[in-house]
Amino acid sequence: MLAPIVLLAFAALAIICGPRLLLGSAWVRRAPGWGVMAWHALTLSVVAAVALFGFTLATPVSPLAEPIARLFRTTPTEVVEHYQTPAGVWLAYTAVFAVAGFTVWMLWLTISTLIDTTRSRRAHLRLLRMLGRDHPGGFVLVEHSQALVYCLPGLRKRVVVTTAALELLDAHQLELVLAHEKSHLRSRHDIAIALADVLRRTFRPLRLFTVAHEQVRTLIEMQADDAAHDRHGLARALVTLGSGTPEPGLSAGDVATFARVQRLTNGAGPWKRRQSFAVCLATTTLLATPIALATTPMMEMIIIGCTTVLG
Amino acid sequence: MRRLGQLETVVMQRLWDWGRSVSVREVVEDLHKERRIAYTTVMTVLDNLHRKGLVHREKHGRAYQYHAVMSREAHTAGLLEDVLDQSPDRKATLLNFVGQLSAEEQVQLRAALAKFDEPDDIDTEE
Repeated sequence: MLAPIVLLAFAALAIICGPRLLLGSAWVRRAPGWGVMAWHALTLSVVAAVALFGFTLATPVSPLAEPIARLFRTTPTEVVEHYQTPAGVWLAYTAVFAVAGFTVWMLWLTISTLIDTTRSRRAHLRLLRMLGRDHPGGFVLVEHSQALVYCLPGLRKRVVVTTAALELLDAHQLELVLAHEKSHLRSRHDIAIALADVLRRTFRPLRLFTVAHEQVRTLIEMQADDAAHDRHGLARALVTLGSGTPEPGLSAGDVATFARVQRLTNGAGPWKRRQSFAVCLATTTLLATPIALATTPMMEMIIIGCTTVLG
Repeated sequence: MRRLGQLETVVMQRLWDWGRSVSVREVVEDLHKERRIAYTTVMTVLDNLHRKGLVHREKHGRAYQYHAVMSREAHTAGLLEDVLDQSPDRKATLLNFVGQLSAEEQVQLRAALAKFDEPDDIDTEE
């Protein structure tokens, strides 16, 4: 009875307080790689709490009781007793169906996203082969009046530069921008985004996941920015390319660029190993909490058992 | 298969350069300046391109005449549409270095960069 309630409370707390905490922390932008990990830990802990909420409700009528009983060296009947709710069996069955439905839904979204991305990447590559030509600088050059630099992640990864961008940037800036793009490809940043994207689409009504997706996108840009050895030069390249093509139709500004330029020009504060350790510990704790909470009925049983023996 | 893909590129390049309808024979003759290639191979390539919707064909007498459906520029614009998409629901196909800044943002950011550059200049002027 206790477990579903505490799990729900944890999820609610994480959904409400988590984003505020991370958005307000300066270290997230100072060490964007750790920041991405923190956002992922936050969203995944909510997913785990919701999933375990379903599992704990379903325990009395599912085959789960047996392995749990074995784990805690007790009988399945005892386990069922501790996970039972006053609402009775129908709630447990509802939970079984909800958990199963949700798992299928999430799997479907993951697979369809994967197929969709692979397909559009392949289509993009095919066109690129026709429209672009390999530049000795290690990128594909595409003739176009709009100044753009981007990378296509995946197995057949590419960095693409348009002729307009090549004209706008000097050799030094180009080198910095290419370092940024290669860092994306090397670190497989597309996987971090894909994970955030699938979660956002699964839990669309929850704002946490939309915010997390947006933040992960911004933070991986910042992490790639850190790969360039001349921060100020890269900031200049960002502004140059960002104002490269005066297109009246494209007024939708890039909010992240502002933060990125400020971050690059202000210089980075110190980052100590102690801080990495603290973030690592906090994310592990965050992820372990739902699992610990799910076992509260068993803990309760053990504690009660101990006190009876001692008493 | 891979070789056919490369040939498709080569043939499309020719069609774009010419910008008019051509017969298979014309393509073959032009390619012969660079490589030995069979008539049937070129025909297969053009057939593939037609199936993929990249070229259009009309019957002239007994043979087909082919021309590119879209110009190279139109294709490039289509390709880069993916990149320019700034909607929050955009696909994660690729990672764009920087989005287009609004005029206001450009002014502010240039000012921020200038402020960073200036201190040295002021020192030398004084």
